Amino acid sequence: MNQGPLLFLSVLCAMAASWMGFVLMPQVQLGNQSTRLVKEIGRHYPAERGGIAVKGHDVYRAAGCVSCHTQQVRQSGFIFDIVLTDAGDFTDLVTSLVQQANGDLSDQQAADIVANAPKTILEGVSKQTVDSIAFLFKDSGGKVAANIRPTGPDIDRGWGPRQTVGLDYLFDEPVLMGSQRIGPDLADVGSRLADRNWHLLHLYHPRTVVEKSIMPAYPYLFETREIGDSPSPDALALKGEFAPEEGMEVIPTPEANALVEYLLSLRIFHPVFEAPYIFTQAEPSENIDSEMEPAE
Amino acid sequence: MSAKPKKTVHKKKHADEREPGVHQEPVPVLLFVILLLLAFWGMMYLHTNAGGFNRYVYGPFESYAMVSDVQPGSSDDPMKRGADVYKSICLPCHQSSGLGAPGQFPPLAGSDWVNVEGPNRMLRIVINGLSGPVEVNGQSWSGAMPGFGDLIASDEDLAAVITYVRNSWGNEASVCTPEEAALVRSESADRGRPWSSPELLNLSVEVQ
Ligand code: HEC
Ligand code: HEC
Repeated sequence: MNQGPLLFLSVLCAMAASWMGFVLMPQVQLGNQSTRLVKEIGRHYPAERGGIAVKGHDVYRAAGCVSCHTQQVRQSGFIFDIVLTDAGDFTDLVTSLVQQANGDLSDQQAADIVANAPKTILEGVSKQTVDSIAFLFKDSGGKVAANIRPTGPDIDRGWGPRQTVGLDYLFDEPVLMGSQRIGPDLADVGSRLADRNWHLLHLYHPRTVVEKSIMPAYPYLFETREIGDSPSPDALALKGEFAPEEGMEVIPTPEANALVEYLLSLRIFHPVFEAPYIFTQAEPSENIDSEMEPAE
Repeated sequence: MSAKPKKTVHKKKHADEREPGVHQEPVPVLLFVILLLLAFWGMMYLHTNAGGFNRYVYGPFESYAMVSDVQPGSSDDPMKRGADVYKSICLPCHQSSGLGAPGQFPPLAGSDWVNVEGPNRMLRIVINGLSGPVEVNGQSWSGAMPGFGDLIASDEDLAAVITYVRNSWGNEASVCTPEEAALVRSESADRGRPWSSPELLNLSVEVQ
């Protein structure tokens, strides 16, 4: 009995089916994305990494940071804050509607909201409540807006204002999403920790800045050398048990600088269409970028 | 090993009388039924949880309509919203005056492509682009405008920029609604190449 062709065919089918499911379908669904205009920041997003941050991506990969750090913020739900944006002309009517929308408000509080619009009426409500309140205010002259707020454990931990989506990884090659979280998620670390000296100290020895850190130190990214004619301006400000011997200084290597530049480029601080949220905070100060011009 | 096999082996022989082989046991029908049910369950699961396989839909959102619906500031004035989009996308070519650049980019101010009853053709130009010879107010141009359908992901932004162009610099034409934008966007989903002027002139001006 020759089972060869049958075997070949079934293996082919199995491979083809999984290829379609794992490669073709995701490609059709998510492939061919291009940068997009984000109104809130008036720029196209994502921006391609420039300068030494490109090399930093390779250093991150080589150092194995991905074995302890993910770069993916998850979101489990979303809630809304309802804001009275415009009270309109019929303040008495709108005041009573505000009280109807939020029963906890006293007459005085409701009147304050109407007098000082835009003001928040209700916080943390579902889409259904949003719709019913919008219906309530229809034709009243008052205008309400619903501000969406992502929720979920990752967001509560402060790892990012919204979930990460395919677009965020457009210029990552390869994508270093990671799957283990021994340390915090780093998708938005550039917004949270924008100080490059902090990162350098942390990489040299995490316990210089985080007392009980279990993250390994990366001393090979730094060079300990004798102080020349005068101390280098790049030397790390190390104190106590971490300070080098008398007459020595610790200088970051180009790899360390590149890695920090890469970490600072990890930012998802603004909304995109597929992961909306109300953008309030200002973009992390621009001096981060200018300060970090590669010194080549 | 001794050459003499033990007797007990011979005694047991009847237990192995049937030689092993394939094609002897029919596959139970129940297995097929279970497999089919599993496949059906899988498809139903994808149907309800895959967000229509839309690239803009990530959990916890369930559909494109739902994502669209919760966009911040959707009650904004479309003219203001459109002006923002125009500034970041169209302005380098068509200029803030809407007059374009002589010999390179045709004007939008007073254009007979813009000042028509419906936004159908203009929506298509913005989504997929326009290339080849085109006549604007009797003057012919031959350039290429890329499509911006991907860049302007939100139907409200798309509608807003159309509305803005159709009602600025002395233009007076109807408002484009997000629904119209969504409809034309879905119709041109598989086009993937710019329009040419004759193709567009064959289409009605109104979104249908
Ligand atoms: C053995 C697992 C492990 C590895 C490998 C590791 N880290 Fe960490 N990392 C941690 C832990 C645990 C913390 C939390 C304690 C702390 O802040 O030091 C952390 C914290 C951090 C933080 C601060 C994040 C925050 O929000 O406080 C940064 C930045 C960071 N790591 C970067 C890196 C980089 C870059 C690498 C690769 C060179 C790396 N880590 C490798 C475990 C690890
Ligand atoms: C890269 C430059 C460029 C950008 C950006 C651009 N256009 Fe164009 N546009 C052109 C060119 C070139 C033509 C003429 C195409 C041809 O000759 O086939 C054109 C033609 C048009 C036309 C039809 C002719 C006319 O003048 O009425 C419209 C309408 C139009 N553009 C609208 C827009 C809108 C709206 C945007 C912003 C979303 C935009 N364009 C962005 C280059 C551009």
